[in-house]
Amino acid sequence: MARSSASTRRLRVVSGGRQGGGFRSEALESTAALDDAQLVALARAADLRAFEALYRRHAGFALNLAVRIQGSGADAEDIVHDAFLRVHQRLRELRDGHLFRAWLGSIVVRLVRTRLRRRRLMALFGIRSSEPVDLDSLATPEASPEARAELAQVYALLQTMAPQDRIAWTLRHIERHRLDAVAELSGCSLATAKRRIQRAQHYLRDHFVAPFEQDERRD
Amino acid sequence: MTRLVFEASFSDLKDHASPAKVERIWRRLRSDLGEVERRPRAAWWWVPATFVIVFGSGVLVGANWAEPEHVLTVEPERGLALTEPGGPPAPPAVPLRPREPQRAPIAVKQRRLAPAVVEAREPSMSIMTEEAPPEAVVTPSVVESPEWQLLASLGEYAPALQAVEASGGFDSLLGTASAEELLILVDIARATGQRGRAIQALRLVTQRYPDDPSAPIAAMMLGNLLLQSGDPAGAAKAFELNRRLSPKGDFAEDALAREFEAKLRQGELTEAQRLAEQYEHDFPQGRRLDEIRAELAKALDESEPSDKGEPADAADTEDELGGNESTAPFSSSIE
Repeated sequence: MARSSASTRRLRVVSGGRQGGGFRSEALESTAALDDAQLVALARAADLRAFEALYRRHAGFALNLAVRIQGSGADAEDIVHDAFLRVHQRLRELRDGHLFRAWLGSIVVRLVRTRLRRRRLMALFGIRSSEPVDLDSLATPEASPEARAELAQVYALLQTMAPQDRIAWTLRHIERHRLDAVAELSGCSLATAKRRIQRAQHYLRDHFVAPFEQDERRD
Repeated sequence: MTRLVFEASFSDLKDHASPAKVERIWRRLRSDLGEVERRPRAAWWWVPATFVIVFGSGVLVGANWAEPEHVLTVEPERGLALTEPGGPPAPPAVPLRPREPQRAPIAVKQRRLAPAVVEAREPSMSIMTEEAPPEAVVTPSVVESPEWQLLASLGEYAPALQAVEASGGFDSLLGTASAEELLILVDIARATGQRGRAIQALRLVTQRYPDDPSAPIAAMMLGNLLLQSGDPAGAAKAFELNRRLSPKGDFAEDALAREFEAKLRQGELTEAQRLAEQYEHDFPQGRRLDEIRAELAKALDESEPSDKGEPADAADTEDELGGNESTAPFSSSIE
């Protein structure tokens, strides 16, 4: 009880403390000290600084998630922008503010999935060729040739999979999320998430050729 | 057990969260949220204060000068009711439904109608003064796609159709489906040889969701299916719709050419000629320009004998005989 009243006081101090010059940066600093749940509470009360703090804290996560699931940087900024717009509109639906990051992730995943499905559909009808893997947006320049080759091949194979499987596998093996987090981000049950990852894994195992294996064989 | 396929280390993956990018998105986001730079609160606190004072004075004066006609009572158990002061007991009140926080507008409206006195017992105070805290009802992300969608996404269309039937049937799903779901239903219908249903679903996409990004594609697909079904008039309308929905879209050129083709099949030479001219004007380097010119010349040649009294509607007759796909002037790019 005492804890909750202390936290309320803290929120009040933050929401009222923007007087004088440089109030914005001070406010951002003070909001940065708050945890997600507190920021969500403030953002729900139309406090834009709190929303900005949430954005700045999680934009990187959302951007990387979008790029890595898509396999390219195309439209990643649009996706993140749209995701945060939705977050702003639907913040009241979030029950537990501590789950903000996972909730944001699930929105990003849904937006990417819609985009992947649409692209797949268009490719299916020959309207548009599938999007090429943009290796430069995925791998660091410092990555070894082996790692780059591996990434290129994995993403090329991922593109041929159903979006659901591709997303689940990427979240698990590239983003390194726990299985329950994969399920939550994908908006499915744990069992379904496992099934999707396994299906993708089998597919990759069947089709993946170690980048330098062929050369070794030739040698 | 086979080794894990992906072995590139996490550090090999690029970090996309550059400050410039984050800042760029934020600027867009802020402008979309309609937020201008906020001024300090001290500069405008008097605005609501003045409003409250003026409004409060008005209510006070009104309450003193006019006799109260009705009393709005809010019973925690029963809800809202209007009663005469000192009169007979109130009729059964409109029950307050649980989990409905928007009560304030009702109270304000009653106050405007008559200078009423609001008797509010303890629970209703929050109703009058502030919006009740909303209870989150929707869980963020725990809804899974229906089975038919999953099966369709895997390309398993026959089982997907069975799943569609199990979830209430095609027609029932059409009634509530989103644009994306309708397009999945189109896939299922087409893959299982149900062209009529595919056409039905595509029509719905164009009619119900004309602003959806997939509407132009749906119109294009609809045109192709209708053309295959021997309905060139409907096809021409669909291609025209595609051009209208997305005049500079990826399919504008193709849609115009296909509309021309549909008009030719209908035997509407004048209209076909107009479309051919439009194509030549809009797409002077168009990939199908030569084809269009050749087809138009051919059709005009064929139509000449009919002007001289020979049987007309050669194109229609040919169409009725089977509409041989291989002789169609244009191959279907989207089906």
